[in-house]
Amino acid sequence: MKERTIDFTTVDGFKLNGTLCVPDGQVRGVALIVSGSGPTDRDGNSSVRVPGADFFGAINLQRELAAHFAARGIVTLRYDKRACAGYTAQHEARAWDADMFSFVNTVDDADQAATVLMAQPEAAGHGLAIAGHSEGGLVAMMVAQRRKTETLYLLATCGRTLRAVLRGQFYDRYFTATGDAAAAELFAGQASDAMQAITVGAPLPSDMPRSLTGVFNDMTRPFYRDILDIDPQAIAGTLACDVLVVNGTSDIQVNHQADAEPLFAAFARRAAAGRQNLVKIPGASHVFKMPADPLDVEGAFKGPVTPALFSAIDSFMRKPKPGPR
Amino acid sequence: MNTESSLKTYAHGPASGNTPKQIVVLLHGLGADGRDLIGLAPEMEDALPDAIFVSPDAPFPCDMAPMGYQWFSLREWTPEAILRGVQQTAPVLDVFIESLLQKYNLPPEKLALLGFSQGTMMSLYVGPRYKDRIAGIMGFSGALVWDDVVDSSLHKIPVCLVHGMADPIVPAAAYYHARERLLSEGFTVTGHISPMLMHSIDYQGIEAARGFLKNALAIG
Repeated sequence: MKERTIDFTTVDGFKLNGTLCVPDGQVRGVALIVSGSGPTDRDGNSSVRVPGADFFGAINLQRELAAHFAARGIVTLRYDKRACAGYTAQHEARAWDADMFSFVNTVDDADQAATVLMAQPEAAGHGLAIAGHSEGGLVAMMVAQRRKTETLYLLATCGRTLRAVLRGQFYDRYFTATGDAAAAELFAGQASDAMQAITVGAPLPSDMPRSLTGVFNDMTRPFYRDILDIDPQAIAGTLACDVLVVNGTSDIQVNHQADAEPLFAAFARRAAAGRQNLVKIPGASHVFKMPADPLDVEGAFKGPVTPALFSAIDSFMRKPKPGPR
Repeated sequence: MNTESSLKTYAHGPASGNTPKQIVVLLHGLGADGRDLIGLAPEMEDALPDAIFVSPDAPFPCDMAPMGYQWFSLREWTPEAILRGVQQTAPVLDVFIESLLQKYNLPPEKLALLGFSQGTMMSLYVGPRYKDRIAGIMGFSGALVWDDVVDSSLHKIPVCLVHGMADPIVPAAAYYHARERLLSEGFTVTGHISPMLMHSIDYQGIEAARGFLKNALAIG
């Protein structure tokens, strides 16, 4: 395969850097790769180079994904998200804009990346696939609503609204720490109040405990405002493309039962559907590494991406198109 | 040493109403201010009733947002630049610690540092190098920035680290790096990874801090 740098400008003038990965042989398809939340770079690694950030080695999920797609004749574009550390000069040069890292901008950027990818000569005559990891899967679905997309690869993609996920997590974490169900419910209720204030544009509750102010504050408000009530299952019902949903059973961030199963079920309910499949990879983590158990943090990030992910993709590519139904 | 500190501070406690018998210094992260972590004090004061919690604004306005403060610039996200920034600001924190000990007439072993993110990076650098042995360091969501710095005069004070497994800003790997490095230097390191937690402090982390600080400050 060959790689070349692709720089492109977003709709609001931000300059993003990416890599176009081109197979050596015949081109059989085109895929955009979208990374997950935070300042994640094109290869799937944190761009924040604090000491120890690479203690487990690079994650490289998106990098390995691009190489696998290339081996199957698929041209890919992957890019550094606008929150990445490499763009610090651009962050500073712009007048402060609280919406700079909003979810709307994240989706716009991916859509623009798709436009740039499809304009490459290698993409001529091929339909678009989008592979999104984690939050990138939701972004991929929203881009697919905007433009003709043949295939979605949704890797470790949340199947519930973030509002529901966060409320459940706040309850669980408080209950785990205290064993007090009533207090945990009260705490989760305070989180719900904060989310509601963000939704309606009201001031955040002044009596929020510190363990919530770190999550919900004026810096994070634009991000949560846009994303809290986006329902992946509702979006699934609007899409007619092929879809592969993949989730590890040891993923403790996106759950294979609470997220992947209902998300896939929403796709399966579509009246007009193409190929679709759900693959649960036993023991795989959120970034498709193979920990000894779900709480083995080192194993969750270390080592190569499990070949089972690539097998799932290969099997899906070979799956015959369904007839009319 | 000049013990006059010019840092603006927010304080809480002691809950008992007594004269402070311990000091917990709270060091915020990038773009926040002293008001951020002082919010932890009401959630810990019953475990530390005679402690005063002091949370200063970092000395420099944040250069990445129009609000808040920073201990050092993160314009360059490299380990070298971060270490340089920590080393340049460390004397400010040394003076601040000295001024608190003098103000409350307490020995260094009755003072603990608690940091979040950049505040943890500062704490893990300054705490073991303070001229006297302090009680310990509680570090949330941070990193150890002096990986290659060998210093035989370090105080091997107790350290508790808590980090979110899903932290997209300072990856959880930084927790393991700090833990391994501190253990190899002979520090006692406790703490945990919080599954599902991002770049934040959760209730389990606060519980860990309550227990650690109570023990490190020899209360009860």
